[in-house]
Amino acid sequence: MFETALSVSVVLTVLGPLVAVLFVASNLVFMPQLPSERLVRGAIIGGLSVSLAGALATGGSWLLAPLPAEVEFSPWLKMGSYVVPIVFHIDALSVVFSALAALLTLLSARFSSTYLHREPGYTRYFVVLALFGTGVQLVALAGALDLFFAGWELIGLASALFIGFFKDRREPLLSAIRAFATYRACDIGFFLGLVATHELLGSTRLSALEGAGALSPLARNVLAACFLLAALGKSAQLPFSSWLPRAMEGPTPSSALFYGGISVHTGLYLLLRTHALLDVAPVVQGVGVGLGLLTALFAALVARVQTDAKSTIAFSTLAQTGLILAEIAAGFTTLALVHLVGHALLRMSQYLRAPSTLTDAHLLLGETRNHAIWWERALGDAARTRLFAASLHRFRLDEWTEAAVAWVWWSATRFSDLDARWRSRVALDREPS
Amino acid sequence: MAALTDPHFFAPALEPAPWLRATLDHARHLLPDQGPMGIFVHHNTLHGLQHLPFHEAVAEGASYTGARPYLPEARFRAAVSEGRIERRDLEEALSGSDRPVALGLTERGVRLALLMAPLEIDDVDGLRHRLRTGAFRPDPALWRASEQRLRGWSAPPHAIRPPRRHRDVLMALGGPDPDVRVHAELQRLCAAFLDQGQALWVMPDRAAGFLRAVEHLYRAGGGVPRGGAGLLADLDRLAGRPAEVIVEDSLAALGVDDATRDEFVVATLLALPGWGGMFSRLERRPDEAHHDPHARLVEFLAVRLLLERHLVADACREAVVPLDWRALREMPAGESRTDPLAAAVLLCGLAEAAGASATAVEELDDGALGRLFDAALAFPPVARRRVFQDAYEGRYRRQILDAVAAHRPEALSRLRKGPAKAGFVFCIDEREESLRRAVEEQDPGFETWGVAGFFGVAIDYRGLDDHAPGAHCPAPVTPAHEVHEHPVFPQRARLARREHRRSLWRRLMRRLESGTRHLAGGAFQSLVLGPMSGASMIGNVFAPRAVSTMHARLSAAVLPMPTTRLRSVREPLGALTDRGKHLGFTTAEKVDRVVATLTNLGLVRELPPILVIIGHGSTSLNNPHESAHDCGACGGRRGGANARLFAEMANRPEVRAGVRERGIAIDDHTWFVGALHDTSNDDMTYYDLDRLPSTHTEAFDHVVHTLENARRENARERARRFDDAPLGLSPEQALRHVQGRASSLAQPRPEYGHCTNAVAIVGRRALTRGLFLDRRPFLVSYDPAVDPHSAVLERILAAVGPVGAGINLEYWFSSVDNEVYGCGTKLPHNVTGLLGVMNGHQSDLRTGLPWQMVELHEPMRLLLIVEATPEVLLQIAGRQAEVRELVVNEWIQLVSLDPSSGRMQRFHAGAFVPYSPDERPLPRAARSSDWCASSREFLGPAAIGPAHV
Repeated sequence: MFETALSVSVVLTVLGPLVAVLFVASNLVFMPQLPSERLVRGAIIGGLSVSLAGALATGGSWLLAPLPAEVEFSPWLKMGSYVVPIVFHIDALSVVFSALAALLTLLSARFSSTYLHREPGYTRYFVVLALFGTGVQLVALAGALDLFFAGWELIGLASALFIGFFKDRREPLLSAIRAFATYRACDIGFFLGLVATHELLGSTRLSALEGAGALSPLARNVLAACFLLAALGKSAQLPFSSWLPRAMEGPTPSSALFYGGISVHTGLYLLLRTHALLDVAPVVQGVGVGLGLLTALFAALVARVQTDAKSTIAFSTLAQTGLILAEIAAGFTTLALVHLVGHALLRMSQYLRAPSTLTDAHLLLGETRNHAIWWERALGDAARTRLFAASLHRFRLDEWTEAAVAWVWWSATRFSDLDARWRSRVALDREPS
Repeated sequence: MAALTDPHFFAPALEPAPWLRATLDHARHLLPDQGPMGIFVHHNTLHGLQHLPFHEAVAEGASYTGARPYLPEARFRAAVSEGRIERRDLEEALSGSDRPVALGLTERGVRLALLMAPLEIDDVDGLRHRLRTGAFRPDPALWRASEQRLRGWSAPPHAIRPPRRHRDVLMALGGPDPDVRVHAELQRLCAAFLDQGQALWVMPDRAAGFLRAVEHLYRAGGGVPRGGAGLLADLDRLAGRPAEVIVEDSLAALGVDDATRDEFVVATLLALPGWGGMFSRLERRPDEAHHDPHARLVEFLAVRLLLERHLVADACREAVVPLDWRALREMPAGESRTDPLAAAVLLCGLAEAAGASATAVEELDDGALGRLFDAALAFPPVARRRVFQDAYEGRYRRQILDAVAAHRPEALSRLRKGPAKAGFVFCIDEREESLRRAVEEQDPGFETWGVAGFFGVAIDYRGLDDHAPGAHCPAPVTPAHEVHEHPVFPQRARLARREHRRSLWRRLMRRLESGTRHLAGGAFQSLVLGPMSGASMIGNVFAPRAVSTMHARLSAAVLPMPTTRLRSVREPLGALTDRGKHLGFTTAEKVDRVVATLTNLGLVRELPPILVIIGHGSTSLNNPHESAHDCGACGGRRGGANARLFAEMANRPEVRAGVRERGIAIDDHTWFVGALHDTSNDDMTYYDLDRLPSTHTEAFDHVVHTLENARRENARERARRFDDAPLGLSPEQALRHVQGRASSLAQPRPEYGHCTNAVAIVGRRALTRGLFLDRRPFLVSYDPAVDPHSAVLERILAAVGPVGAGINLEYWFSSVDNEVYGCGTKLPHNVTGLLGVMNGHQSDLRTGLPWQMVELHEPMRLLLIVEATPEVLLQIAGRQAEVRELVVNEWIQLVSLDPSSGRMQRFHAGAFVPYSPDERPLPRAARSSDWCASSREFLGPAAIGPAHV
């Protein structure tokens, strides 16, 4: 009985938004006229409300029996010994993240329903938002890496679609491509990790990761590094940070939900989720702490010189996600979770209020502010100017990234040429003329 | 200080070469002239071109900025098919001779055919698509004949606009846009340099100017763009040279010669108009910034050219074209010919309009065909849209003039005898038209007046909570007086408490605000304040009205407001304030102002016992453009203080004595009350009611009751335009709806602002009372009977003409091309430098109005109807240069309404021409709500109220 209730609530949480998407989509396909704003809004907000209710119910039932539970459905796919299970993992971590994500997504939808009124692309916006709603619940609740990966990809897709929401303008499209390319590049890590987990541990279930301690140190560290790579991309940690500030091209509530609220934290959530693996991979832990602190330092510096509302919040967000990454890698997972939840709420509300910057500044005028802080005063003039210049130009991270990508591209082309030549040689050997 | 030890800091600024100064001035006329956005003052977007006739200026602006000159033809054609434009309007607006061309068509006939038929010959791909899908079906015989006739014949060519900069040529050759990298760098530098306080860490050496600050930044290392070796070499070579020299050096390096440099420099500056415009604006008005911004347009240009020259050189090398502009410019640009398909559509359409047969088309000789095409090409899309624009305005003009003429007999028969029961003086703002109508509908004994909403008192005002005084008067005026709000004596302690708490709160806010950017502060706030801000966000989004009410209650409890007064009395020998202004007014100064405003209103005798002076402002949340909804006559601020001050002055016995001496019969029984109307949530605030004489209690009670009803009616009339409010709301529901809008963080349209403006009527209210005008007119009270020498009218027109035209034209341009002249949709806006907004993470500064403010607007030049004879108007125009410019160049449409005969004459092409109205009875409705409540669209005029008195 109790287990049935739990299964139902999990299903509602995950599928609520998806059903709403299907409903809107069927309207688009079968109805002669485009769906009205009312219908779209009603369906999507309904779906997301169901999802929130499901998430809260799941959380409630977990509170009644606070032991990690698995909810299993029949497998998604079976290929010989390879099984893709549909399994959900209910524990403190997943319950908290699921409820947070459902709440913020619904909040963003409610906000958007007035904010996007009369905007061309209204339907598209809400459909993508609901897809994100399903994706993020898959990520939050998944009990196996395959399912996690499906949600993970939905989130990445939704993020790119929102950045490029204003598709008639050039900048948003370039930024969307940048973000999407970063995601895809880093997803290589996830994919390799997924396959390797199955090969080494026999299953992609999260519970299987508990057995990672039995692997060789090299295997453990490589496996953890794969997931770290995926997390770095999604959470915009160094050296993959350049897409985040550029992602502010979409409508404000989508930026708030993604880059203040949930999406930017899903990389960190992945690390929390796979923590059993990270615990036994000390090298990767060290790298994680290092990259996290480096990101935090970089972003905190850059945030000080930003002159616009959204970039300021973006870099401040980045600084905190860097700290959270370091906390996770150092093993303070509970602290990290609390930090993550509080941070998501804080930044989301800051983004939503970003257009008020002028009004707020007007109220605060006349308050003296202490511009330079101690370490700035301690620097000499030349060093200070130099540091300012570097921060203003974000340490030229964008350009370095572009150069690196160009190099990778060039190498790949060269490799492909070599490969083609080699293959033609082999072919020639086989068929003497 | 770095700047002081710097050898270049004291380098004298070089007087720019005369050509450069002239060129920069030329550019200034085309750059947006919008100041920092905290105070938004509406102005003519092409104010710099106001010396040109309107249509020429539109074409010039479009050619430089790449903007659309008018609405797209498709919009106008839709207006034709909806009946919004009638054929007679088109015929009236159309010029063209009766010279025969071919196929029996005259030149005028060709033009009319092009206007009336859906001949979208400019969109060849669209045509092809529509032909293929059958959406466009020409007459088959004519179509075959046209195709047949045009085989082997090529239409006459038309020239292509020559390129203005290297980029134009490089892009035409299919290369990448060199501006992308230049702008990425330049936008960041501009934002850092001009920032008014958003960054925690301020750009070093800003006081040395943009050029030096940027130079220091690059020389310090740490920030040179990749491939910036050339830039560094230039900086070394030109170290310490003034911006003017660097500009000339860069131009020489790019091969720009004397003949092309003006065009080149202007086009270069217009490539990033928002930031360039801000430099230009702050150079002339450094006082609009919080600290002296040291902005100079020439330095902006110098930096831009330094960044650009090497990138352009590289791009030219890659494209294998000469860098030298003299050579590059001459590269054959080619010409364009009408596409054969478009030519066939054109010929076929003209033949159809002429009623010609297929044989007639086939037998056209080359000469006739050439004449036909010449005539058609001489009427290109821009000329067609110009005619459409005139017709679009003409139709509305007819509608309004006919209505005013039809309403006049009834209006005159209803002229009130004796004083009104109570009077209401509003701002001329068109948003108050519906409220005025609602008040008058409530009680026929009430009367309303309209005057520019600063009520003739130009002041720098400092309210209790303001940290510095701000100018409450029309933008061109600089107030000479300062007025402060003070608590009454027994409540000074309360003020002290309030200020103490406010300052604590603000310090905390400031801490928190900057704290979220620090590592430790951000972490602390995430852990401690994150949940709190989450809770407040949830409340704000799900229950905005409740949260804002709660917020108001809370702040009233924690920060109690003392009873206050305005200190308006000026000590005759009092010292000036530290800003060099008089504190308050002497009695004589007050008398002057009260007399002037009452005379403007025509309120010189039979004053009602209560006169409510109502300023206006607008409240909204999360809205960078909030100030654009405030009172334009108060310089983009709220008019409450002015209303309150005016009432305070006019209630003083010593002022009244002076006013009476000047011939205004002001009774001791008359009492003035200042008030503020919030045009967004329709709140009313009254000032100094504790001083209301007890004799007036009942009467004022009735006034308040009326206004309470009227504001609900007003909310209802506004709500019909918001298509997320259901039609048919009750007044109470409508009020709640607009309150919800004003208190919602998620609302990009708290109100529609001046979106409905179209007309200004200067004259007696009696003429328009009882006429439903759909919130479209600026209503300016003026009584010709009390103004024999037209001095009052001159004063009114000198103020109302430019202000009205400024608002109207800003809306005109922002709605015609919202991406170029306006700032596009609000949704991705990002406040930058406390100066304005940009799109997304980095873009040019976006000026003008956002899409959400203008989406309903019908772009029409202001129709200014004045109750005065043409002679009087011509005399005034002769004396008032700006009015003359606006009228003669047709930036506004002036109509004279003869006060005694009601004859109307329109100023057109340099002279007044009589207008004879259509004599049609006006539609009639018992109440405004009956006429409008069931429609969301613009509605024509109607008479409101019973037919006979």
